[in-house]
Order: sequence, then C-alpha cells, then structure tokens
Amino acid sequence: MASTTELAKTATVVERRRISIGSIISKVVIWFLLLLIAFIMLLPFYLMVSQSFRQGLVILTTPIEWIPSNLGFANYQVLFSKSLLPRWFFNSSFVTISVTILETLTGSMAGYAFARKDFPGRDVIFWMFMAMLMVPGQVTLIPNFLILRQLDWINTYQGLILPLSTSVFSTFLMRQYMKSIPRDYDDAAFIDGANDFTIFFRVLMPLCQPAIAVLATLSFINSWNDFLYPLIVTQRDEMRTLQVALATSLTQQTEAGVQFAATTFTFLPTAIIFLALQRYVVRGVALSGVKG
Amino acid sequence: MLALTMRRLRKSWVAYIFILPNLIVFLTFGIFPLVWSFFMSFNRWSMTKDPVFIGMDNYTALFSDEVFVRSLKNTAEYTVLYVGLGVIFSLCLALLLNTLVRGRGVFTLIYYLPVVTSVIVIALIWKVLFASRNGIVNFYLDKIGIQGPGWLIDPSIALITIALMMIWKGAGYNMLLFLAGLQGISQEFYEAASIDGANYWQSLRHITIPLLRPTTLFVVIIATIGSFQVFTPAYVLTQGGPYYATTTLVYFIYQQAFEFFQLGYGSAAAYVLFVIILIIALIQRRLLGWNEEVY
Repeated sequence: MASTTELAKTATVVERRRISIGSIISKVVIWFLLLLIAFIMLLPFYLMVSQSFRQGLVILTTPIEWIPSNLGFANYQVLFSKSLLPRWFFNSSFVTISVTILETLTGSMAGYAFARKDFPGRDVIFWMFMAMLMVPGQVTLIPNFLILRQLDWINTYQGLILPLSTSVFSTFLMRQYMKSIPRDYDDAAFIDGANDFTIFFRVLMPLCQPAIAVLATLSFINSWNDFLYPLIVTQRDEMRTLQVALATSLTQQTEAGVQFAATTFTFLPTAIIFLALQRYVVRGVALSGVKG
Repeated sequence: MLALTMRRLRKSWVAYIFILPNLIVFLTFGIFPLVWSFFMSFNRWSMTKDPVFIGMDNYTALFSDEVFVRSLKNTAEYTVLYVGLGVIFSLCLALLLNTLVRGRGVFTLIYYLPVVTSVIVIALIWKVLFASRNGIVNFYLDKIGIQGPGWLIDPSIALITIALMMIWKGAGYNMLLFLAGLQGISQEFYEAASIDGANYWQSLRHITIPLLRPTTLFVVIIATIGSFQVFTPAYVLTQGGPYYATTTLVYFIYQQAFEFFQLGYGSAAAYVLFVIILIIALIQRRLLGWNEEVY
C-alpha cells in the first residue's frame, strides 16, 4: 500500500504532466499561427525581390517560378540606363534628407521656445498648432497647389521641401521631451554666460538625442513614402520622386520584371533604415500614442 | 498688465526667432490655405475662369452627385472593413505575440515591415498577386478547385481587395499599439484570477478586454481617421473604378480638383471630409478625455 506522501507525489506528477501537455499544445498553436502570419507578411516582398532578378521577357506566367531560373541584373540595367531611375532616386533622397533635417531642426527650435521660454502669445500659438493636427492634409491641398503655382514652385525642389519643412507633430514631441529635462542644465549654462542659442545647440540638443533619433527616423520614412503631395507638385518626369514615378512613369512599362526591380529599389532604403533604426521606429509608435 | 507683457517680451523675444520657421510655414501653408479653401468652396471656379460666388450650391450639388455619394459610401464601407477586420486581427496578433518572451522582437520586425513600406510598392506587388487571369492567388485557388474572383476588376469585390491589402499593411502598427496597452495591464490581475481558477478565455473576457478599452478606443479612432483619407490604392490600382467602386472621398477630391479642375467643387468636398474627421476627433476627445492630448 503506497504511503500518503507517495500518493500525493504521484498526484502532483500527473497534474503537472496534464498542465504540460495543454501548455505545449497551445505553445505549438501559437508559434504555428505566428509563423504562418510571418510567412504571409514576407511572401509579397520575397516575390518582388526574387522576380526582380529574373531575366527574360516572359516574366509572369503562372506557374510562377518561386526560385527564378534565369537570374541576373538585366532588369536593373534596363532601369538604370533607359529610365530616369537615378534621377528619381536623387530627387527622393534629396527631398527626404532635406525634409528630415529641417523638420527635426525647426521642431526642436520651436519645442525649445514652447518648453523653456515664456513669451506673450505662447499658449495661444501652441494651441493653434495643436488644432492644426486635426486638419486632414487634403483640405489644404488645393490652395497649397495654387500658392505653389503663384510662387513658381511647381516642379521645383523648394516646392517639394519647404512647405513640409516644419511639422507640428515634431514641435509637440520636442516640447514634451524638453519639458522633462531639468532646467538645471539651462541654468548652469546661463550662469556661465551662454545665450539661448548656445543653450539650445550645445546643452539641450545633445540631451535630446533619443527624441531626435525617433523624430528623424519617423520623418525620414514618412517623407520617403509620401505620395499625394509630391504627385501634385511634380508634373515633369525628371522632378518626380521614386514613389510618384512608380505610379506614373513606370506603369507604362509592360515588363513586370523591370517594375519589380523598380519597386525593390524604392523599397530598399526604407528597409535598410528600418532594420538599422527599428527601436526608434517602435518608440515612435508609442509616442504617437501620446499625441492622441 | 501691459507692463507685465512688456517685461515678458523683453526677456524672451528670442523665442520668436525660435518659432519663426514654424510660424511662417504654419501661416503660409496651414492657416491661410485652410481659410482660403473654405471660401473657395462657396464659389464655382474652374482654373481658366474667374471664381463666381454661388453660396451653398456646391454643397447641395455634392449631395445630389451620384459619384460623391458613392464615394462617401465607399469610404464608409472601406473604413468598416479596415477597422472591423483589421483592428481585431491586430488585437489577435498582439495577444499571440504577448505570450512570447523570446522571439518577440523578430516577429515584430517582420510584421512591421509592411507598415514602413510605401503603399505604392505594396500596391504594385498586389496587382500581380491578385490579377484576375494570370494572378498568383487565383492560380493557386484554381489548383484547389476554387474559381478565383476578379479581385480588382469585379465592382463588388474591388473595394474589399483594397481593404484586405491595407489591413495586411497596417496590422503591425495596430499590433504595436495593442502590445503597448497589454503591457500596461498589471500582472496582479491575472494572478488573482488564476488563483480563483479562471482559465485563459475567462481572463481574456473579464480582465484583458475591459482594461484594454482605452487602447482599443485609441486604435479604432486612429484607424478610422486614417481610413477616411485613403487615396493611393485607389489611384494606383483601380483609378477609382471599376464603375466608381473604389472611388474614395479623397480620390473624388483629387479628381475634381486636379483632373476636372473644379476647384470650388473639390474644396467643398474637402471640407465635408474635414467635418467628418473633426466629428470623429471630437468623439475621441469625449471618450478618452482631454488629458490624453497635450499636457
């Protein structure tokens, strides 16, 4: 006859095993689902990249060759030699980098003013800025186009960059972040004879690096992917950004392989930036939650 | 009072320099166009002629315009699809991912990749995947005996196809928002519940879902506002067709202003969009409280 302790031990062992099987099954199911969804997420990208390296005219017959047989850079060569891709890439890069730098800079400057200085009209102006967040971009689209036309900024870089050189969201973020930095730093610098500009550039900006990193990353990605606004501003092929060119100049190409090469090429910078700076992107999501 | 203001001014006039760029752009490309657009909407104005004041005529014309009403319906239908299916899908993803300790980062990376990719890139791939005759999806459906629909050329399905594409694209973003919300729920609740013998589904129903309410509301509102502004897929994939099946509100505005050059009419439609979004934003404020926004 087994002792009570032995019976108890057997009972717990059986119980533990029952729990184990249940939790193993659920773990398997969870992993299976997650992997399945990951597969679905990645499949289109794989398709795009793999087919872009496939050469030969008849590209998209089904059944599709998941691993293309005739690999090579032919599609990319066509893109670089026969289309304006290098120019489009330059346009996108120039515009995006400019907008990112300007947005971050002006947002930080305004954030500093709102966070640290007390000036007449400060709260009113800030609330006006915040109210603007509720206005969808499409409402100002038409007049902005007319203004650009008046200024002769259509099909120009300044037309693509300057109206987007500030961002109310950036201002808001930087203001919040700067408010969380103790004034002691400011005061110490002030005592040492620094003026506002010195305090801003040499004390606060370095301290704000995390926020600036997030801001710059978000700005970059948004600007690179921007579509409607550049669509309106650029009517000439050579001024178009990659995104607009993909939707306009390139769809006349019947060569699917070349199209895929173009989309892969457009996709690549975002992918690289994203992989390199993912924690800032993720942090940005949380911060946009604060914005409400 | 004036002396106080003067003193503030003397001490911090530098601040105006700091906000100058923002102010200039804000006034030139923000406030001024906003007001101008408002007045434009009360005029008939095609670019070649001078504007003519017609009062509310644009607005009344809009609501008897079949295409406009269709665009409202389309946008609403798209929003319901995106918010209904997409948000639930993202919530499920978040719940699944939340159970993992390791590997969470890798999955987040993969799920977020479509989010940072531009809509055009995704649309062009989708075009190939969902082409009706040689499309990859239809090819495999055919292999298992299902007749694949005309994803982008069937008027009754085209909008759904676009919604599915955008759900796929945006899932990672909403998932991250939900994950943040989930992590804000204290473990003590779950521990207390399991002591009382609750299983997973009961905890889900009675702890997770109620405590996730602010996050869910936020996600829903953000998704709704975003959905109402959908444009690029309609432009790239279907040009608003077939037979206006995918003409969204913003696509209508774009067409009116930049293809038909009806600036007044387009502005009126834009203001309708503005009012709709304003109402949604105000509902959000009411439901989530003012505190969430600025301070």
